[in-house]
Amino acid sequence: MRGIYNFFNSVGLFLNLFWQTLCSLKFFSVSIDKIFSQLFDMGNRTLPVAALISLSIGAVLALQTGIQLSEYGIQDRIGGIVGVSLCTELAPVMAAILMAGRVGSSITAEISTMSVYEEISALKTMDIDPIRYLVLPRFVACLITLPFLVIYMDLIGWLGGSFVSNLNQSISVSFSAFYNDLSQVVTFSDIASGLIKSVFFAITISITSCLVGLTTNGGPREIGTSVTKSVVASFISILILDYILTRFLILVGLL
Amino acid sequence: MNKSIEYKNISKSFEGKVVLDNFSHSFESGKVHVILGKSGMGKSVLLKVLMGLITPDNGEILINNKSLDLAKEIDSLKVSYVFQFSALLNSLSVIDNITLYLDEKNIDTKENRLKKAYKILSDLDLDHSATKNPSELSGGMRKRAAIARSLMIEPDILLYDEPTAELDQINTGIIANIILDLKKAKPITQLVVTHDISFAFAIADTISILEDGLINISGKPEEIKEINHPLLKPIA
Repeated sequence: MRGIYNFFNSVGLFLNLFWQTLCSLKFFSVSIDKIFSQLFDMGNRTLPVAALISLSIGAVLALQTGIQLSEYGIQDRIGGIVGVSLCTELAPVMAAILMAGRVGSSITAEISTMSVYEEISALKTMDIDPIRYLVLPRFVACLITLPFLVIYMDLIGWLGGSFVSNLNQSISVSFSAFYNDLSQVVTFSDIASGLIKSVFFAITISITSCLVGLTTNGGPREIGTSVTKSVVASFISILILDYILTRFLILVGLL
Repeated sequence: MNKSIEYKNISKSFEGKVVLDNFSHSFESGKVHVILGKSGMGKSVLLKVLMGLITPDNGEILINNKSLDLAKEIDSLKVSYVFQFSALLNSLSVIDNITLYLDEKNIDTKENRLKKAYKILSDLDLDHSATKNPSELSGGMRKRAAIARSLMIEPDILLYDEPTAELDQINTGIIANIILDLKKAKPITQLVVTHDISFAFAIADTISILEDGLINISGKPEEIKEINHPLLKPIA
């Protein structure tokens, strides 16, 4: 019973913070500096790791699928399979998990530290809204970063897939054949569906991380607990949301 | 303008534990009022209720006989708060912490904001540390920076929560002098909660002793000294 109450309480708090953040969007123009600072920080944290992950996923996907396809002599279809898998599912989900792990955890650590050391209260005493000052820049930056990260991971993943397809003796598909098939199979709606997912994931990660940070109280020990809580909640939300969004995108004909 | 403060039947409980029980007390304007009491007696809660950081279960606060919200709205009442552990934003330099309020409210030009901040920092002998990060400051310097940040708001009422916590004798003396200088220079009502008895007697115009959520003893320092209260034993 307590668990059900906590779940609905958390959902309520999430929706409330999301709504208040949307309302604070009218201060977007005065928060530009903070948004750019967050964008720079998020880019720095995610781009190198994202490149490594997507290169590896593209390569492994091409290797595993390519060898199977070559047994039936249809290895020239590898470009389309790697292309669609990456942009509709693997890149958005992996980018979101990376974002939750690298950026979400850092947001929660920073804001929960501020809560524990009364910095949030200090903002309130100066009549500075913590949502406008802290949540809005992180929310907007996350909303911009994640779709870009998905496109970036799509491109690097395709690159990794094409290299393995070309260099592996069992597959041996040329770059032009790989990208020719990819361009024929991957449609705009495949890329759009990945981007739509990434927008929902960005909202989930940024609001969850900020919410857990803002509701942290107690001593310094709570900071670590909050970071773990935020990352786990984000991971679970991403996976559940991924299924719901995939169902929805199939229903509306985007997938 | 001087602002008198009146707590009227304020009650506050936390998870069933009563901290303030129908608390009523008045503080005269333009003076330094010290509230003494043991830890956990609700001293900080009194300040946080006035600051708006905690909502009381019932009761109200009147400022010059007007409700707190009305005073803020009509008289542009400004209340400022010096936190026990300073609560400076560690992501900003000292000068950015000091100008934060004016920057965020976009009050005045950047040049004037900095000029004003440096003047306050200079008065508090902190101008040489303006570009440092709060984590690079000593406890006493952090406390002075927190006072500087509060003064940038030009408050009518200034609240101090344990301003000498974790400070040595020298820094305690510096904070006491800042409070006394402020009393001479500006018509601010200053409310200080502390359990440092010598410090309280050094700065106070009035001293009130908070026990079990109520103030039963209150008066000028010399009157309070005469009372044989167990809390005051260390100075007897």
